[in-house]
Amino acid sequence: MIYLDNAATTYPKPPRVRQAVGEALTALGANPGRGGYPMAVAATQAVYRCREEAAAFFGLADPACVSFQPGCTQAVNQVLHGLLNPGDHLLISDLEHNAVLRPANALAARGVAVTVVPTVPGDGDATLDAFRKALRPTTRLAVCTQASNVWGFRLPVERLAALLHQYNVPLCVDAAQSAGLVPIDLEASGIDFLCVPGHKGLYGPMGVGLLLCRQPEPLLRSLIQGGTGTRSRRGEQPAELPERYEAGTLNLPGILGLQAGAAFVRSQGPETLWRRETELTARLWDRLRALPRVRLFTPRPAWPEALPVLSFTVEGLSCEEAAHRLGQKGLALRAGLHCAPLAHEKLGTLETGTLRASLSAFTRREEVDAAARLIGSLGGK
Amino acid sequence: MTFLTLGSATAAQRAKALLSRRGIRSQLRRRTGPQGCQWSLALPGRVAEARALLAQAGIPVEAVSAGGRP
Repeated sequence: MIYLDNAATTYPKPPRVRQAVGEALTALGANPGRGGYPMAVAATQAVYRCREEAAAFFGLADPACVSFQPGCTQAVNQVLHGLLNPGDHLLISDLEHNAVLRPANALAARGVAVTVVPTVPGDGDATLDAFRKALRPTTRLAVCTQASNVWGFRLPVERLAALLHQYNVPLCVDAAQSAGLVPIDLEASGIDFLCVPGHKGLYGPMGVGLLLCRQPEPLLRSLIQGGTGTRSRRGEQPAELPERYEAGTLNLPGILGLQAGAAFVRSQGPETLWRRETELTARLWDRLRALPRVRLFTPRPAWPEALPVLSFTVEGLSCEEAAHRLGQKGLALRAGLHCAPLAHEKLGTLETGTLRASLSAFTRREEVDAAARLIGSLGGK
Repeated sequence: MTFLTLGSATAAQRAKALLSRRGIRSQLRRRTGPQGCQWSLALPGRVAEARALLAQAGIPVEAVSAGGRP
């Protein structure tokens, strides 16, 4: 199988990730943070090392500002539900995934005003202007994806953070498609909250993600409450980070798998991976452009403006039928709206959806060429 | 042995790493105190120096106790 659905989850995972998950289940089977016997302390220390490495990877001085989450979606929800109150105003970009749109809409039903800001792909100044114009005195938070999961457009989140800070508005960045490719330094970038999946560009297993807070303040309300292994006589969720955002048993196999995946990314160099995957995506774009029935919607991907994601349609075939036929021939692509109706509405594909090809560190040039040939061989209806 | 109670497992390990860099030995310990289960650092010595270093680093010590008592 040629796997080009890495924007959904990267596959395959590096061998060391599989080893780390296995070791967590065998050598470190105790509940981290809960017991004082040697195996439990070893598990606690293993989690802390991963926290330290994640902090260093994303440019944070304090590992306590790194919390482990079940995924990027939960990290986004933690920020939105933890910060916003009725009467507050929230800005989100028009490229957001449902991980942002749905909690925003849930909050809107409870009295939070939400504005969807029109971005201008390729024009950072115009995008910043749009955010500036949308600001209100009550704006309490802005959420922006670092890159569209449908179109691969990259947004100027560092400049946006600087703009928003002039108005004392924090920025939450959804790094679902960019973490592990685009180098991110929280201290330098000014991003206030960074939401990261473990199972995409960091090559960890599913079921683990990160929420990184540039500073302990503002303290968010905890999304869920429960045991933390500390202050157990108290009936309230502790104020200390990261425990405040980590109720319940941590996913130790996931965390150690994420640590191993991030180590793989570090060993390759995120920017090296990003350049290589974008070049291969551009190669795929070239080959698809030569196919008369294929319609492309975005310019030829170029580093550093694009991420390795490419969406297209095939004339005469629904995207689902095309994906089904290609799947039968051994090519894995994702069809539909990619949980991002706003992004599809923006480029006029809300009714049809698209086929999406997304690459990883393990995608080979021959696979890209073979994928283009398979797409070119698709028959009509 | 002296026990320094810290706010969380993360704070205790941050403190342990800091003290280790200064050559101060410590062990992570779980203990039950007035607030319930807590993480502590057990120190065989150099307690005053350790407390000063932690204060300097902004890591709050919530309680200090000696021997086997929480």
